[in-house]
Amino acid sequence: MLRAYFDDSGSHRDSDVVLWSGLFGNQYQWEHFEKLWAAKLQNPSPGKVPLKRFHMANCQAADGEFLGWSRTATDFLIHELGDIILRCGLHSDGAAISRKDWDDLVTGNLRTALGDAEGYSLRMAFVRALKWARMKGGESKIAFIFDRRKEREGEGKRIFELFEHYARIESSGVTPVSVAFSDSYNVLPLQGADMLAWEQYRYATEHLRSDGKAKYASRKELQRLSRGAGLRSG
Amino acid sequence: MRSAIEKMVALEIGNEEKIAAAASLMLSDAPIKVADEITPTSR
Repeated sequence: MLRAYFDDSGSHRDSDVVLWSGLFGNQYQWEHFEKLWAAKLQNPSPGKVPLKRFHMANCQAADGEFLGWSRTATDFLIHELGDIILRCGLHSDGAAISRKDWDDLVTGNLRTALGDAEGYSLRMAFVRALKWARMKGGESKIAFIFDRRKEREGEGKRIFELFEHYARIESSGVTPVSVAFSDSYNVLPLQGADMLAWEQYRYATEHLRSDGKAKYASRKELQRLSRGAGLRSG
Repeated sequence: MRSAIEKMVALEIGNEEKIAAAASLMLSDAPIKVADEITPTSR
């Protein structure tokens, strides 16, 4: 069974860009990931106490569980967690959408069909995970797990039901079998998706503010993940 | 990003019926029933 985990970034109203970013793998990759990630939470950085959860925004801001951490310590942990994603051979994809451009250009029935900017990114989460599954997954069933976000659960379930329905009518070789909205405290892969969503959101914002001139991410961690993992964003 | 959205919107010109059907899927309380009605091959 393939599993695709997604986290959102930029979902607050004043954000210029919004996205749902996913991490994809098979059951063996996820089993390996969970073992390594849990061990890293127990021993996150030299001299630091175990973490209940990795959360990229808290880690970057050195608040929450990371209160008092130095930049060296937070960078070390992010690098180590990036290594886990690379070692497990996971793939990532996310569709970042400019809210203003979407609101200007997508109206009427097209907007009802495709949703608002976040809704469209949510639809693309299913599309891209299914495409990855067909092209590279090597298995015939896929489960979708999203970080809990009450405002989007109904929409996410409706989209899943439609993909599931159409897969029954015309098989593409991959069957969507389930969708869930879960808590990243309990579901470790959602913490990995959170890390990628944060990185991709930051790059998408850079890209937008540079009028498209920023062709590559400025952050070294995202560059490293892009080189080593099947990471895609757009 | 804007040009990608512009291209996508331009590609949908002429597909108004299909778009209206897709919109009805999103608004219906019974989307699968609507999907069956607008996709004859599903019967």
